[in-house]
Amino acid sequence: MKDELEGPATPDDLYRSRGDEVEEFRPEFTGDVFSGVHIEDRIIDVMILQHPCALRNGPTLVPRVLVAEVTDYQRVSDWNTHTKVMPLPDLKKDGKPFAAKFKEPWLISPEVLNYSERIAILSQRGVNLLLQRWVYHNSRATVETSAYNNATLGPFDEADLTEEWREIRAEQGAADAWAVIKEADAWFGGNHTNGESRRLALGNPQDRSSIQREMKQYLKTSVMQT
Amino acid sequence: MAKRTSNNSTVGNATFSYVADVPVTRSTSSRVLTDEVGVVRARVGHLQEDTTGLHRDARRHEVVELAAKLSKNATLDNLLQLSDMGFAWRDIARMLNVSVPAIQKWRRKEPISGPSRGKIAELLATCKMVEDVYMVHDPASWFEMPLKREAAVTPIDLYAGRRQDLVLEAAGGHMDKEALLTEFDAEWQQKYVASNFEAFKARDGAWSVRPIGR
Repeated sequence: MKDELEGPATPDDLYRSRGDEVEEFRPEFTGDVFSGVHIEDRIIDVMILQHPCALRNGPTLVPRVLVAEVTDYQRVSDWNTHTKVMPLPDLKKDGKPFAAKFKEPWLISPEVLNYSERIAILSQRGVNLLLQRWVYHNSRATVETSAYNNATLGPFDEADLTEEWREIRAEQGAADAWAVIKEADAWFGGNHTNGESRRLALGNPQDRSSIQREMKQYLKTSVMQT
Repeated sequence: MAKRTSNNSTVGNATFSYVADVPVTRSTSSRVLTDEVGVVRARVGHLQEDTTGLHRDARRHEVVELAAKLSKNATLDNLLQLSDMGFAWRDIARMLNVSVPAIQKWRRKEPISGPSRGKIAELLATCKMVEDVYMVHDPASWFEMPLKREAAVTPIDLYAGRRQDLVLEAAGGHMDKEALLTEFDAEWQQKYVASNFEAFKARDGAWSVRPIGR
């Protein structure tokens, strides 16, 4: 039914990576779960709630990042219920269910995340489900995840490609991580062949493969400006 | 016997218009003509089913043969070929039914099982067939295209749904798209057709969401 909240086929469908599989070079993104975050006098786990397009100013995270506290929670079998949380089954790969609590949001400085550990990155499906539930919690409007998918494809692809950019530059010996991030950001902001930026062109699935090939060719042939 | 004048024929009080000569061995009443055409149509239908099955078997054999050759390459080489075509690692992972971290491990040359090695070769073989046999330019881009504009099902979804045969049907163009979608999932119209909201490019160029019809 188009007016019902959707759920994953299996818990694994929610996650791109968890625990020691979490990729170091992947930019922070909607749905990322961080452990050991210092907020006021507490140390808690949190999940980034901000929409991908609202998360950054250029290569840097916005000054205030919206997060929700993540705690252990009961198992959720019907995703059309428990609408005040984002269920996170098997978050820590130990079978235990967790959830991000929408009623307990925080605004934190991005520097706080630097002192914590990222323990999970959601898959594209997971991000779409999170956005669907977060919007429903705030507005009672049910938007199909396919609509979110089409709208967030560009930022998701840019995050994937930025991760690969950083891997390739690391293999080439680039030592300054921040310089690499700025280089990637500038390149994605540059013009694509049809006149719009590569960043915006990534919103069209049919353009992604050509941008990826162009990126790899650029990284093979260019010397990083330091 | 039928008497033919131009494209018409008169038998008794009945007049028939001809598209093609129908061998007349008995009375050509409307009922009999309908039945005869129905028989021919049924035969064509059975022939269609048989040739579809045969064609799919032949394609499958060709993919398996090509995959066997490609499996001799180093796994990393095959993965890089897929990436160089323009496939995202997450889509490669999805089509292989493995996790993204598994792909990352194989890229770091960590051990890979025999079956996984075979699956990578088979995916690459399928992509090469799409490109070389069915002349699809930029197969990675084609794999991202919805089969029907209003239905969010792409060749990536078909392959990830273990219907490699339908990927090649889509590339070959012999099959009606709706029939193909129905074979993939009989409930595709309920599951994959957005009925309430759509993505659109807002004034700032960013992709946004709005109700359909606005």
